[in-house]
Amino acid sequence: MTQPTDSGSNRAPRGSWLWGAAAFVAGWLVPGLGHALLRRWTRAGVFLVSTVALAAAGVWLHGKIFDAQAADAFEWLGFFADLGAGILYPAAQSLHTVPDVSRAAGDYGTRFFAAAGALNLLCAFDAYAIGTGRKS
Amino acid sequence: MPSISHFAAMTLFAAAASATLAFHSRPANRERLIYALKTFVMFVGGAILIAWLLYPISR
Repeated sequence: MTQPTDSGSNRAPRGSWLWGAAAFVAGWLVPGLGHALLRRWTRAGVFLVSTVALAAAGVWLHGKIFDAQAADAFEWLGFFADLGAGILYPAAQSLHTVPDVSRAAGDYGTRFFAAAGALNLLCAFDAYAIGTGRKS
Repeated sequence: MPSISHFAAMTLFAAAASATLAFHSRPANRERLIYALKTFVMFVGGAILIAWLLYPISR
């Protein structure tokens, strides 16, 4: 028996590579947008709130937002994780907050923003799987 | 400079991560709620347990 999933009865046509790719890109750029395109409204809302809350906390706590001038492998890893936050990444960089990782709060902020990016990438892959029809 | 307690930071992360993982992993709303609660408790409870285990060697 099919279990009910998200609210909303009309589902977008899916099952093609193109839908999956479009949902992935949209979901990566704007958290939740990929699922919104596929009319998975509840998922879109939950992913948007989770990602934005973590990213906002990261910026508020003066976490380090890594850029492409990485010095070592860990900084590259941080850069790619931060990049996963999509449009939130340039938004956070444009605020020009001074990172302060000498205190625990700043360190939490760094991890929060990276976690937001990683979760958003996971959501984008989920949107891709739904768009291609591999997942309901 | 803004500040946040370790417990508050842990709770925020656990709430966001468990909600996201629940919507990834479970198809029905009731299953999602149970999964999210379980994951949240494991995140927070696991951290508290590890903290108490490490407490004797932290002094």
